[in-house]
Amino acid sequence: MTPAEADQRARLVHWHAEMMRLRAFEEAVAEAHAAGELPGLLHLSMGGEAVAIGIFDCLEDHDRVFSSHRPHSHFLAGGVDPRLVMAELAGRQSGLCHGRAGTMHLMSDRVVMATGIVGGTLPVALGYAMTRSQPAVVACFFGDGAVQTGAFHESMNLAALWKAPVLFVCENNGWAEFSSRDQHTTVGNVVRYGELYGIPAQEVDGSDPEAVRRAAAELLEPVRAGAGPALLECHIARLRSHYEGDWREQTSEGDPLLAVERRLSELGVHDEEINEVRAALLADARALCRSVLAGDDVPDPDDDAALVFASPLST
Amino acid sequence: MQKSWLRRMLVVRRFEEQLIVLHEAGELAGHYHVCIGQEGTAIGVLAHAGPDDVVYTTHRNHGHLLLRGADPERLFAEILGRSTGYSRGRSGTLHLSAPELGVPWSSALVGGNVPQAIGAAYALARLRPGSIAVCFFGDGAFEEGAVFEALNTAAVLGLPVLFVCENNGLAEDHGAAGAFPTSSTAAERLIDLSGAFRIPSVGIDGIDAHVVSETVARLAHEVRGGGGPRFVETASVRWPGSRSLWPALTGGRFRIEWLTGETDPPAEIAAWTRTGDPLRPLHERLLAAGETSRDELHAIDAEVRAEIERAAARAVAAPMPTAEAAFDTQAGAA
Amino acid sequence: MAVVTYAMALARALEEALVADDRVALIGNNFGGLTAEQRHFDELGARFPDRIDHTPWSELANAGMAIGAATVGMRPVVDLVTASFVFQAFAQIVNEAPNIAYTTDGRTRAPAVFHMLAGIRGAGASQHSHRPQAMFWNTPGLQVAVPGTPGDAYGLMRHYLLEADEPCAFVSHPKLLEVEQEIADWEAERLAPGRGRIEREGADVTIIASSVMVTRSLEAAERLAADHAIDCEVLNLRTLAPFDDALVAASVTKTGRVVVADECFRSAGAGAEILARVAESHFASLRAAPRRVVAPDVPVPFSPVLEDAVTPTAERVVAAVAEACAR
Repeated sequence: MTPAEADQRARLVHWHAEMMRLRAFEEAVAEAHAAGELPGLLHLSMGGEAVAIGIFDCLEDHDRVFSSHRPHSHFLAGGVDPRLVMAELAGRQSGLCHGRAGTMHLMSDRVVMATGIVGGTLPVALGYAMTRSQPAVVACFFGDGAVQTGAFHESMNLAALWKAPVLFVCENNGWAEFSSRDQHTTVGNVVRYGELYGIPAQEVDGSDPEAVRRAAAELLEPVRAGAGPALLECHIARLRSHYEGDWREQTSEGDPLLAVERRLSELGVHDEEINEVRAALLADARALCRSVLAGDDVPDPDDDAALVFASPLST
Repeated sequence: MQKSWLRRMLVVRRFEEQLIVLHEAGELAGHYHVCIGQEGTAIGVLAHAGPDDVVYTTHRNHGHLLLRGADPERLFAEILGRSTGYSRGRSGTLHLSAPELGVPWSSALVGGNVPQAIGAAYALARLRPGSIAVCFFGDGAFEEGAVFEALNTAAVLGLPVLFVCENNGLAEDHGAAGAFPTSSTAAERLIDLSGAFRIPSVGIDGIDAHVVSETVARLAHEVRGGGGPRFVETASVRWPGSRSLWPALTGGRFRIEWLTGETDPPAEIAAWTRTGDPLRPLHERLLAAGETSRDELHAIDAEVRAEIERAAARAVAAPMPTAEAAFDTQAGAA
Repeated sequence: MAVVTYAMALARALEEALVADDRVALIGNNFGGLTAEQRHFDELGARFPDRIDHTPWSELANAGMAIGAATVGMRPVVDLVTASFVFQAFAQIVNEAPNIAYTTDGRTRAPAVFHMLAGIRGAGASQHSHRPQAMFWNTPGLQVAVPGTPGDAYGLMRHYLLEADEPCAFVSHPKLLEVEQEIADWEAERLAPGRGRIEREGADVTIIASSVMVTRSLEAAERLAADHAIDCEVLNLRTLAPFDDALVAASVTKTGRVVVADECFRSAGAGAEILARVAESHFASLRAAPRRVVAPDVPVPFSPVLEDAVTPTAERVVAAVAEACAR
């Protein structure tokens, strides 16, 4: 193995571990939710780990990210402390947004916001990007369902006209809620919209972090230089149904972890090593969850009211 | 192409001009839009829409209503807010409608009519198979997400709708053939936007009614036959009188002599008269086919002008609605 | 005698309408939201595959489509799912449909039904919990249905699909989907819009409720009777527009005390308009200032404890009624 190959292997091992960290978090969350310990509507990002890792590897500290309704992997890959996210999902005062946001309204400095509205962050990401100076960029994640909203077209059109420094990242898992893409549109691949709006676009296998990284880096260079937006379509699997607890089994194949593990195996990394790390990460995630749930820092409603709005909570 | 188109085009032209005169005389409240320069598209498209079809138009709707058979006096009256108008003064120009003529509603929101048109198509597919919805909108409507949502849905559901995008941003020298860009869309060609949804789309000259008609005949037939939606972009040159905030009779009222060469148009309207006036190609084709003559042209125009002036005068003389009429929710006399 | 859930009653209305009139059509099919009750609507979809169209997630186009179809003779109901998403379709629902009949002087009608699940639902957070019925009520030309019971859902949906000639915002509450009611006589449930019901007769105070607040007010009434010896009359409005002024008048003039129970945000919520009507029309009958139990002006937070703090619960209704009767 050449030094370059060794570097590449090491990097893939590292990325794989990161992907497993994201997956472990979601698995612990899924278990707790199924046991009734986490409230509300949850959309997990299992299947999107390679995209999160690949994209964030290209981003700098001054860049900003907008997410979707499947935000956990974006926030974690973006460096947010998993304890803050877990506590937010548990509605705790110590959560990232003091229990006010839950999963779909997570907000932080770097990963600015998630959204409960399909396509909801696209116009916001555009506006935010217009305030940035070179070489900072904004990456906006959205699903293939968002492509059918008018907001997607308005945002793409304006971003192209105004040369906004946005990397549009479409995580195409072939599903929009409970129906498949072909029931929603006659347009197969989202990447076509790049050509339509005259912006650089690529399509990539979203289960391969190296491919995602390569494509994103290539697209980002001119975006950073002020040439205008770009579009990256990443084909990924939706490993869970639309929301946790959905009795409809609407998933697709293509676990990125398995794909990377096959590659690692070819590179001589042993299964036992991987399994050890995986088990440790899952144990950590479960322990984090238990620890958060054991905390009794439930938000104080009176305190909350005083912070936010003028009118008192009492009716 | 038919000889009757000439008279019909003149009716639209003289109606719109009369409206500008009425506005300048202070008879017209609020904003309004005229379709001078776009009559070729209107005639060419609506020649292929029958009484069972439904037509959705925009704020630039007078020509469409007239060509669907609206009575000029009642149309003037509605635009002037009179009680004898189609909606007793409630809709004015912005929401002109005549359901008996297949024009149920005009939305004043850019892009507002497009989802409704696909809904009409959805209904027609079930209630009157073989009928179609025709949806007019301007190139500016592509700034609105609603248009994309509607195009996508029409394509996915295979709805019987003909989309007609009137791009009146063509330069006076007509620019590059086949490429009709606009200032507000990043796409190079508007038909690529509809084509992205796999809706068969074509861009054509919107000034020559015959060209429009030939294309629309084929497209309407395909839509009627269950082929799903179709899209045609019709390019025209914006009439100089529409360039300002309020329509103005730039160059004065149109004169037949400018077509026949008997006199020259004023400088400010000359280029447009040569390259953008739909009356010119129509008149030239009819002359070449021996279907009309210079004298006949003058005669028809004189008759049309008299008819329009009478209709306008009667509309102006008609009563305004009473205040109480704002509150009655029963339909007025048909 | 059948015990049915709200969802089953709604599905029954849809089914009866589909059978009775070929012009009825369903656009979208998520009426049951994310509950197991969705299966009733899935069954309907399986039985009438050509009467139901699953459309893309384009709320604006879907609403506009329903309007266009209605103006050409169909009688569609479009499901916009979560009421918070209805804002994507506002241009069509609020700025097109309600204007059509009036502006065309009645010559064009747009009887489209816009169905949605609106309510503080349980960890829905700020963008899944809206109650837009007040905004719809502030829109002349649009009827607003706020069923409080399974029977209401049946009767009102049947009416809107088969008889109405105005568009309607049909506001179901996600927490009502699984609520049960024994219905002996389905025909008796076919009350027209603008006709409310007295769900509980009482002498001391009138609670004017709608949607999920009907159930909570009835709960409160039980507790008030048991713990405070207060006899409440609970009104179920069923629709906001048209509004049953006569029902309210009769009750308020009888009891002289009013508490309005409404889940909208306080400012300019449905409760505000109801209070205004009571004050302007029945001031002389009132023995105490009218009150409202509503959601405070705070975006709905996620954490269950916080969400509970902003929900107008049965306890809060009890407290308000006790206060209203205190003097």
